[in-house]
Amino acid sequence: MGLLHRLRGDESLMELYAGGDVGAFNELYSRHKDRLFGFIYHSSSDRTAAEDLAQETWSAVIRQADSYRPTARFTTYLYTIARRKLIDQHRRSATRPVADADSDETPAATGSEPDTHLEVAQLRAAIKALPADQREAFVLREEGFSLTDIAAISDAGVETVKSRLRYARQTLRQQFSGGHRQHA
Amino acid sequence: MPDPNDSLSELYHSTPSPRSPAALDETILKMAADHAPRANRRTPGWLPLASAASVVGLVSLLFHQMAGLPTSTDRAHAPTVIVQESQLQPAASRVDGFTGKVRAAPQAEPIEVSGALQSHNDEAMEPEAIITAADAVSKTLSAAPSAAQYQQPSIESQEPSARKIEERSAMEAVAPALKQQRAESRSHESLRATGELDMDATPADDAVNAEQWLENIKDLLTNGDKERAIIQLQHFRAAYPEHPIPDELTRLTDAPN
Repeated sequence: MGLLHRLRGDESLMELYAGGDVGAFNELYSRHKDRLFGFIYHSSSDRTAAEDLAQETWSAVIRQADSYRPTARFTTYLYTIARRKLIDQHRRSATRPVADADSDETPAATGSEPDTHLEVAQLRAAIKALPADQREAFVLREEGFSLTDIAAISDAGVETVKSRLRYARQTLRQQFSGGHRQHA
Repeated sequence: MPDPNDSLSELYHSTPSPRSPAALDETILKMAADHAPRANRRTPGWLPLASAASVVGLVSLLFHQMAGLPTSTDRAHAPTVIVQESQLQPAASRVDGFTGKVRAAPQAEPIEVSGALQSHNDEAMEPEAIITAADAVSKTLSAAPSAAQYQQPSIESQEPSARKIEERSAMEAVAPALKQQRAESRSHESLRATGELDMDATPADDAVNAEQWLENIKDLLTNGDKERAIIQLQHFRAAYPEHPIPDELTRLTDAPN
């Protein structure tokens, strides 16, 4: 059954799960859990919040499985839910300060070189400091999504996504270069 | 895709991406198993309707079998009957618009058809028997006069009761004579009233009271016009054969001239 599930597309797996096939969901979850968590982690304030948002996102997928219709790619469906959860989370924590780069939640603890470790931490901090739209576009792009996919998830035009990406990279280069120079 | 030459992308991917915590995975997978939609929740909307139709069909089939009525399987032989009806029906409809004289259709033909049908009703027919019956019907129909030649009796042959056919035939046989008598009586009435033969006398003139006519005949007799009175009485008897005639007038006609 597992092999058959692996041969199926995301949308087919989702329909199977909607029909009661739990194994189909397990396959679907294993395909997308890490990348989704990475997207949420890079877009949220801290790791705990990321875990909560990831759980809320998958919970929504489970609850809405009955009404799921494969009118779009499953990834678009999944990340659209995650994005809305992130927006809600940002609204709830609008008054809370964004986690700083020195937070011990930085996942780059495995970095072998201290300089790289610090640079990654600084980059993470710079990403979190971006405007939500730019951060979202940048992270999704780095997680491998096409401009069209990002546009679909963000409910924006492709040109708008390009613009957001351009501004995000420009800001990150400026901040990271400054931080990098300071560190150097 | 991220630009591999972009230093930001290079740095972004320089460390492993954060992985979903095992505890979170366990929680979500358990949630998925606990809240998995039931397998039968996505039954098509037409399924209940189809099920109901199947039950009705099954009950109907059982009813037919118990009542000894022909089932749909038996009716598979129906083309033999349908061919006959479909070919006879246009002829009948054309006869309706045909107002000429009536000519009877051959009597033997319905017998052949009914024989074919009877053999169908007796037992489930073998294919050869069906073909034979169909051929018989076809030959009968092809041998029959054209539709324009079919007249009223051929339509009447489709009546369920032979008694009705006989009654109607008798009435139709008498009808021309009655019509002629009525026409003559109207003409004579007109002649009585105007002294001229009214060829345009209509059925409405039938409303003339027979008694009044008899009174007029009596007046003729009273006035000494015995000859006209006799003629009028003869016409009256033809027009109203069942109407009682006063004795004085009966004696008039019975008496030798």
